[in-house]
Amino acid sequence: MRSSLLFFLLLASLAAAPLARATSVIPPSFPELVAEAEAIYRGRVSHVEARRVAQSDGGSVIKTFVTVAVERVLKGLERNEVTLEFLGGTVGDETLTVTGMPVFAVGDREFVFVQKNGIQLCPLVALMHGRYRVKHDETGARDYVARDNGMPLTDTAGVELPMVTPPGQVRTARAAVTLADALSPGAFEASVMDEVKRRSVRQQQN
Amino acid sequence: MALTRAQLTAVARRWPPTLNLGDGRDIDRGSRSGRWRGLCRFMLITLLPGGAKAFDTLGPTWANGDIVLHLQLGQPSGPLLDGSPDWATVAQSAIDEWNGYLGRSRLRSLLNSTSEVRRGNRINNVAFRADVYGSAFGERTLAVTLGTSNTATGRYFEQDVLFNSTVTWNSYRGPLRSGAREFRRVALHEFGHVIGLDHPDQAQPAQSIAAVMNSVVGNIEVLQSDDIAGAQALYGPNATSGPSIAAHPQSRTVQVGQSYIMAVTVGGAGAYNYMWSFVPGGTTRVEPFRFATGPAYTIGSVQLADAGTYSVRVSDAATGASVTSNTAQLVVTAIGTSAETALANISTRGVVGRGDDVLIAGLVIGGTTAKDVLIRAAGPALGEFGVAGVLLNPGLRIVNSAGATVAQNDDWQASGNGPAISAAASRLGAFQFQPGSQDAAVLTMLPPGSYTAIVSGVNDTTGVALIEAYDADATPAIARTRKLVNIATRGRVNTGDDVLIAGLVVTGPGPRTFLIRAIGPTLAQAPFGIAAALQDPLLQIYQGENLLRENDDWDAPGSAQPALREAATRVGAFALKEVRDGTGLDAAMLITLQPGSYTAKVSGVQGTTGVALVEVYEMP
Repeated sequence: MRSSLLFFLLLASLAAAPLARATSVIPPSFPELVAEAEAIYRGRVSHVEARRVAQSDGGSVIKTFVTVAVERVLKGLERNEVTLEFLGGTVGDETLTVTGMPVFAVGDREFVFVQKNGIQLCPLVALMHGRYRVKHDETGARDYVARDNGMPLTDTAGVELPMVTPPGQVRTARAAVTLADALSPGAFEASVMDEVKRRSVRQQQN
Repeated sequence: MALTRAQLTAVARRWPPTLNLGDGRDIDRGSRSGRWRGLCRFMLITLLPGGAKAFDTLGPTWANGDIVLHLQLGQPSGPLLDGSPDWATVAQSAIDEWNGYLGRSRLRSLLNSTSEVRRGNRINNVAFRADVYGSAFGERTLAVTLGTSNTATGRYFEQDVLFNSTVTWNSYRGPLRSGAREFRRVALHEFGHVIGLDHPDQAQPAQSIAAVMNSVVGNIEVLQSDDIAGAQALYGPNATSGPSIAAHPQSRTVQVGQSYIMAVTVGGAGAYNYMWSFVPGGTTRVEPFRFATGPAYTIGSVQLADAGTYSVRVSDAATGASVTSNTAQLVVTAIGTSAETALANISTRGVVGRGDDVLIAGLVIGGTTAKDVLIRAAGPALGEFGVAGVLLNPGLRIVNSAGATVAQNDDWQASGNGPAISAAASRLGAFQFQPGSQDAAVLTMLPPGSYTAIVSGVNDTTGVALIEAYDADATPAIARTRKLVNIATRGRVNTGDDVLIAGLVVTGPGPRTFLIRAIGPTLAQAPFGIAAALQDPLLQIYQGENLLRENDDWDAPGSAQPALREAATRVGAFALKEVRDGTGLDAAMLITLQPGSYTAKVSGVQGTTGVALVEVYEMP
């Protein structure tokens, strides 16, 4: 009964969400996400370190370097690990916050859609939209894919949605709150690979 | 004692306690304990009475006092759709909106700052940039806020807001449009980060609420209750008890002739002053909209000249604390007019005095052949309508442009034309004079040209009279080819009921545009030289009891002046005085009217009195 009430309240709140597009970032569609990523990795975060980095103008900025032990390369060159460079972080008493920037912790299992690492303020496509988490549902005893905010991803079409679901797409939202319907890492990976292949074939045809 | 909603919210945010990394994000990272914390928090927030307050914070806040933002945004490359002259004006509007709710710290802008845009200088730069201090934005990133804080004190000491200059921007109200990104709502969002608010839709666990601070932008363009609750959770409510805007003026697209309501809703109790502003479309000139002095004003009949943006500054009458609303854009679409629509009747009520203060009506017959007209001077008949102080015995004289009298009458039945006049009045829908009354009337055929109808009191009597001119052609087809194209009435404007009131009846198949003028100051100068001219006339157009439009000075808005000059030239009207030299200016407007009956009321601003002229011209 309690879970039904919670579910109903969540649905009601989702239905009230505004029709939306990105403020800080423009969310990509799933094909865009795959296409715009120079590399796509599944892996586990092995190291996180924030450092002060000197700049050409004599100043410095704080950057956080996130090393991912690569378990599978879905797109791009084969490699065992990759270190991603994010603007922001904490060094000593000083914290530089870039709102909307994904935050990683050692041990996190991730899919990362990498774009212009070391060049962009965030080395992922469209900041938080380029990061998908692998989480574990103990009740269902299975892994599932979640978005940056922890919302389960039930369909790759949901990639382009805002972090909350706008009206008219309650069905997606309803599915999204059901862990059993969330995509498994394997299913998500297969979708990514299909999209990579589809693009590759199309490029060859062109 | 039950917890208040705010207290419950605060409890929900703190329980179970979370470890903060210093960057404002809780470490739950999918761990079991983290999920438990998240679930507990979600349950508490979800079950709050009246709905959740789901704002999320970054962690640090500012110390008490001003948060100075150096606005270094430059000029837009083209006109902004909301009429704002520059980016700083738009940003200021967003700043003002936040300040309406902030307590111990408030945002303060520093315009045209030349400070170096650099991180680490402890200056809050707000600027367009192609990169973020050496790092690329990324094609999908519109703006970022970089906050620097001291982890030990939990205080910010720098927040830079950088807008991606490689993106096309504009500023407008209403639903998002394709193409240019809307600057104001993005700025409003980023300034929320400046004070320490995070994206509620990225909080963990996921939650949904209407908020400007969501990581997405849509048609929400003003702060929502959740944004305000977040700001006040960090800084407390605005201690100045200044006004806060609960609902801003709304943008609309309307056709000529439809109405537009500009309205603002101010939260909280108190006495407030409202100063509305108008920026005509295509200009950057901000003009006060003096007729609107309260929280709402209706333009009963919108005209093309009304297109532009409207905003209001609300100030607390006691403290002077103020807030400016968002700008609302009024888009006006033209409608087709009919050349066959004409003035069927025009009349003016005024006070008949002696000497220069008699009631003088001018009328113009268009076309090439003579036209039947019925002209009446009603005095005693007005008493039947409850008008006090009527002219008991009006005399009527019609004079042509050469100064020759072409018709005259004292009592309407005296000429022996009474039955024809009565029949014409009946056919034209005019009220009937009582048999034997001393009202005056002339039913005659006048060749095309200009005429003057003079109403005076027999034996120098004075009082209120009504002069009317009717197109009396029995056949509508003839009426359309030989038109009564203008009437102008000169009379004395007193106060109360003794103002000058012109009535006009528009007949035909569709709307038609008219030039209506209330002239005083121009009468005082050559060649008229009327010393007692009304110094500052106010012109108001009514349909029944509904006020459609009003104008005080014909240079307000200034954007309408060229069209008024051109219209006067086209209909052969004399030019109006252009310069204010201790007086107000004449009033004038172009108004497109649907067929129907209307009145044009001329009074003196602030109760001033004097001789005025009211004119109605049919625009060709």
